[in-house]
Amino acid sequence: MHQSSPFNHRLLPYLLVLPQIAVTLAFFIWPALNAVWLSTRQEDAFGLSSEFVGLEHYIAIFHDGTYTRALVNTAVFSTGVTVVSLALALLLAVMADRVVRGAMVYKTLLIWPYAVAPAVAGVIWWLAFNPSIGVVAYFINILGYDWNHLIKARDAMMLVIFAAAWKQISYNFLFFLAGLQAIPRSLIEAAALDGASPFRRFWTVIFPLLSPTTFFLLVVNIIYAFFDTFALIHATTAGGPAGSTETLVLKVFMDGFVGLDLGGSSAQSVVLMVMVMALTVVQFRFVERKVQY
Amino acid sequence: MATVDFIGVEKTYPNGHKAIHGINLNITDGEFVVLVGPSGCGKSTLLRMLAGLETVTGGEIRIDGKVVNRLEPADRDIAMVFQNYALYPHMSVRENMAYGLRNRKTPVDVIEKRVAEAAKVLGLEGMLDRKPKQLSGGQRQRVAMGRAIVREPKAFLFDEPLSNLDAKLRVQMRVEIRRLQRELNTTAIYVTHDQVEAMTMADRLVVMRDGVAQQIGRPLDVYAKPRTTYVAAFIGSPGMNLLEGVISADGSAVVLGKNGAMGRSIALPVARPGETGRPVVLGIRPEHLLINPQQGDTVEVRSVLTEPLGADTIKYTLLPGCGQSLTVRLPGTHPSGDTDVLAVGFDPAHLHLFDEATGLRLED
Repeated sequence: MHQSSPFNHRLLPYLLVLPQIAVTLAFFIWPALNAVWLSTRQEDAFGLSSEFVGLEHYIAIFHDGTYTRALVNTAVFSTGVTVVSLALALLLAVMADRVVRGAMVYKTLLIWPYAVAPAVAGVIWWLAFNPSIGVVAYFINILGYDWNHLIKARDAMMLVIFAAAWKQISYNFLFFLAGLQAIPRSLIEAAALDGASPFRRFWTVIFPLLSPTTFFLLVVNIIYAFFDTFALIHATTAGGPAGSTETLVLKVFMDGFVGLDLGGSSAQSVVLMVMVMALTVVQFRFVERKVQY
Repeated sequence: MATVDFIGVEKTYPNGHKAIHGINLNITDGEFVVLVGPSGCGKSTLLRMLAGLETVTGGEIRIDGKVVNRLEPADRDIAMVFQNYALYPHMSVRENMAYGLRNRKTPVDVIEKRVAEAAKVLGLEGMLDRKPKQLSGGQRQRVAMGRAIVREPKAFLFDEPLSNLDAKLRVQMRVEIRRLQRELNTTAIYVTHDQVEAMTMADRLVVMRDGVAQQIGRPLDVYAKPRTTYVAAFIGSPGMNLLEGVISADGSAVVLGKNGAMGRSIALPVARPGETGRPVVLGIRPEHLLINPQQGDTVEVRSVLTEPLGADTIKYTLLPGCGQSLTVRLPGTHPSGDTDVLAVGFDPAHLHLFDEATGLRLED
């Protein structure tokens, strides 16, 4: 907290942040404004001219059944991804925290999925669960369930949820592990002496103390599921079957670049932009201040 | 309300390091025993073994005559106060104190009654709904005590509970812990590295070093008759002066200096004939050195540093010729001067003699 600026010249600080501002303007602000502008225009079929249509695209997407379906898909998908990846990461972190021998190997292995490119991860899962050649699909069939994400909407949704969660577990695991290791050992010992069973110790002492980490990860995971899973879904189900795994981000791509409805696609991306802004505000307001216990 | 017995207790870590080398100690009901020693001496390990937080790799620990080696911490019915207090930060003071009772399915009215009583005893009545971080260090310490008291356990264990407090508060809490323990008459085992705490609080002291109990006894007995040179130097502030020397030709005195190199001899109260030339360590406490005595031999020492404490004065001096230091405690105030030369006499009634090789006390 400097009372006065440590710089001698008044312009120097502005000069120093100029590259950052230039990058932000060129790659974030300008495209965003462009999207807003595009969302108010309608192109002709050949892309040669466009005309101003006001908010018509916005009105249209909210009357479009496929958009509402994408909204519901996104809600189901992001809830599923967040719950599965947080729960499994916490479980793995609690177990890793107990490991004494070979802890580094164990941790490194668990962090690996994070290094896999989203599209590659998608292909791995696609192969494993492929109804014709997939190993996992084969075993599920033996167990008596006819797995086929190519025609069953529910199977397809489960597949993308697990694939997306699998990639995010590493990240959550790291934060949970750091959170667990920050809890003083003596607190757990005190709880043990206070007669709390390991289960009770976890739910009454460890889990409440992890709540700042959990809340932070909750927001990060929702943002991930909303915006960072395009490549993975595209490589696994490509939104199918029949749009049952088409999320909002995927629909922006499909409508804009496959359907070439640039105006409508832009309107969708502006809606997404508003959502990500809202989530960012939540993150800053609550996470930066930390959840109080 | 319980007895605690350590019978040949040992601790060897999986990496082969032996932290505790066979401790034998019987603690009677209501006794306040202090384990004291420098860091790494095994005192905390021993306490944690009693609590069940460390496994026992040899010997037996008994609480009320029952072997608890394999018992879970929760089933030993003991309460522990940690150095960092280990309060649950997300719970209020009330919840912190009630936690142990709630885990044991104590009826709600009993919990409320005990928490209220403990809060009253500890002066925490107005703070029951606060969170630990809204409390001062001393108050947190009290909550940690409260958490132990409400359980009405068989024994209290304290692991350096005052180390995080400032000096003044430490003295105050020291008195308070002792008063509480007397009132409740609960067996207590207290670990500290502070020999003043150890001396003032203990019914009995266990001076530890490298996993071995060097001496077990009442504080004043340990002070008056330290069993080893280590205990002699550790207990007392400042510790006992230890000077190298050899028994004189007629066995009636100790000649100071390695192999008697200094030539000065200090008369022994009881002669040790037949031990001529035996290398010994002569011990004398700083308060038993006399300045300019009317009678007896004196040694001239040079003062290098003076610490005025008000009630008395500590002078750090050097013996000429051999470089050994001698600490002198003088009652009252004395002007300081770096070149002070004092004539110091050794009170024969308070001389201690130790074997040089083993460090063990030589009895008269």
